[in-house]
Amino acid sequence: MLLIEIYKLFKQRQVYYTFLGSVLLAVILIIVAKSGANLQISDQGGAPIDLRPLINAYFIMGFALTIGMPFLLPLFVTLNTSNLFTREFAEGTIRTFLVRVGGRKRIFINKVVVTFIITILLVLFTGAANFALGAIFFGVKSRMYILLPLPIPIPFSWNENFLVAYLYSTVCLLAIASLAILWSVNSASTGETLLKTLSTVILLNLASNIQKIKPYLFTSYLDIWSKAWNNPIPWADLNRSSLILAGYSIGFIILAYIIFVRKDIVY
Amino acid sequence: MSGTGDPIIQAFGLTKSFKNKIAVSDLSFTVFRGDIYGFLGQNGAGKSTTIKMLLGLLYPNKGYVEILGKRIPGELIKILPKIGVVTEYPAFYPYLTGEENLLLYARLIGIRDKKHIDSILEKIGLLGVKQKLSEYSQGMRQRLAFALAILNSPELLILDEPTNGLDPQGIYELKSIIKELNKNGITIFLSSHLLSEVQELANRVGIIHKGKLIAEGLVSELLTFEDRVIVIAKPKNLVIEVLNNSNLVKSFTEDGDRFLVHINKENVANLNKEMVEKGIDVFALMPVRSTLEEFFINVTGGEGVTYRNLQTV
Repeated sequence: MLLIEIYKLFKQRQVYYTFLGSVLLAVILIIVAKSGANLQISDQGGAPIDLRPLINAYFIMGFALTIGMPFLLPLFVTLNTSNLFTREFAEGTIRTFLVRVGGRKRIFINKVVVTFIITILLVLFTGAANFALGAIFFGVKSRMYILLPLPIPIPFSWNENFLVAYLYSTVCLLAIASLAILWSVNSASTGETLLKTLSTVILLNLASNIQKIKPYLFTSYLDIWSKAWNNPIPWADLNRSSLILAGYSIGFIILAYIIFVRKDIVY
Repeated sequence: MSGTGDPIIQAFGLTKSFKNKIAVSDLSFTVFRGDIYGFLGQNGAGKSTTIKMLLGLLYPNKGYVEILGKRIPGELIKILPKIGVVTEYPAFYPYLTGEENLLLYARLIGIRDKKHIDSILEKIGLLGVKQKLSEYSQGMRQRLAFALAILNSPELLILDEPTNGLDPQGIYELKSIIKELNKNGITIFLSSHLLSEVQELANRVGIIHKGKLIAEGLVSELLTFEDRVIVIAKPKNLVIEVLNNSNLVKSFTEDGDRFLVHINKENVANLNKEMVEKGIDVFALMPVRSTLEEFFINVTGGEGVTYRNLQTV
């Protein structure tokens, strides 16, 4: 059933759009950089920094994560999750599936596993494709990353930071995928799932301005991947945050499971 | 084949409501092995809700169902290999072809014999059709749903409005397949609002009205012979003369070379005698059975009945 779920997912054009979308920002950056446009950023009160000599495969790889993580990658993860769950409800195919194959528990578990697989694949693709694009157009050169929002170029002498950033961004996206699963089993359309999932993230992000409740909100830990650029890497902090996100993810999935197995399939 | 065997479907006091609106109320019925059980009701009477409860898609607020001796929905997965289902408005993956859809389900239920799958596709006229489901007509979807339902050679077929969207030829073919499957021992639960269709196929019916079962029984028992006969006799002018003058005849209407005569059952033989004595050649005297449509109107009050031209003989 797992392979069938993967087969079904990759037969849908929308899935490829999410993968292509993950390199969209890099493509725009490459076009702008290659067109000779002025690519300067400046720290508050500091001297402007010309980005063009800094752009290389590592830069693009880090850029894709920095720009993609706040919105685009969660959007794509939610879209893929919605294709696995909500679309089946909306188009009535879950009904055919349940009366021919059956086993709500089995169906749910397989869909969750495929959601996680596709999320991990998306992150891997984002890293590899952006690195490849950067390498093709600008070469690999030295490892450099621009720490945003402060535009400070940070040289790296090892790959570990990039790997860690991508690894922990996967943890963050899996938490978003779990939230999307919860909303997916409660929505009538892909649009509704997107709206509910992203609104939840945005609202909780806003709520995290209240310091008293901040530690209890899972969105407070969705930026842990950016700590991978610290030197040395704060492993204890990263692992603690990851565990909290994992706890939330398990909670979302258990809730989604309870709803899924008890849900009336009306359509 | 008529159902005389053990119970295949048993519903006990099924009740389902949606947001305070009762869709099905205290519904109990039994389908026996070998039956073609016609489940009749107007649109919105609760047929599809009942079927969804049979299939574990909806959870009843009260009551329960047993299919092939297994409690639904708890043990649904145990009986799925033995049943086939056509739901109302069947849904398939629109980005796959019909064959791909069927192969996908075949693989999931452990059928790998491509010849078997092709033979089913051929039976329902979809072999070699390469269109994606998004380009299928409603009739084609219905055919594919039927193919999926019989893919696993089921003991029980649950069909919810299976002729939806089919053209007359398609309806005729589907009815032939249903009859053939039933002859081979498959029990059929057929939900429809097309009464003529059910009358032609079913040996037992249950009628649901406003969520309640209001009649159930053998078609042969429910549909009684009325005080009407069809007379086929010649010459026409003499027949008219006898029918006009006979004290036995209440009224009659002429329809080509036939006459529909209202007469008490016990007087039919005497009418035959009168006509023969007048030198009339009597070819047939056929009692008219009431139709399912008439029965349905009687018990439901006739709201929302789908009328179709019926042969009343």
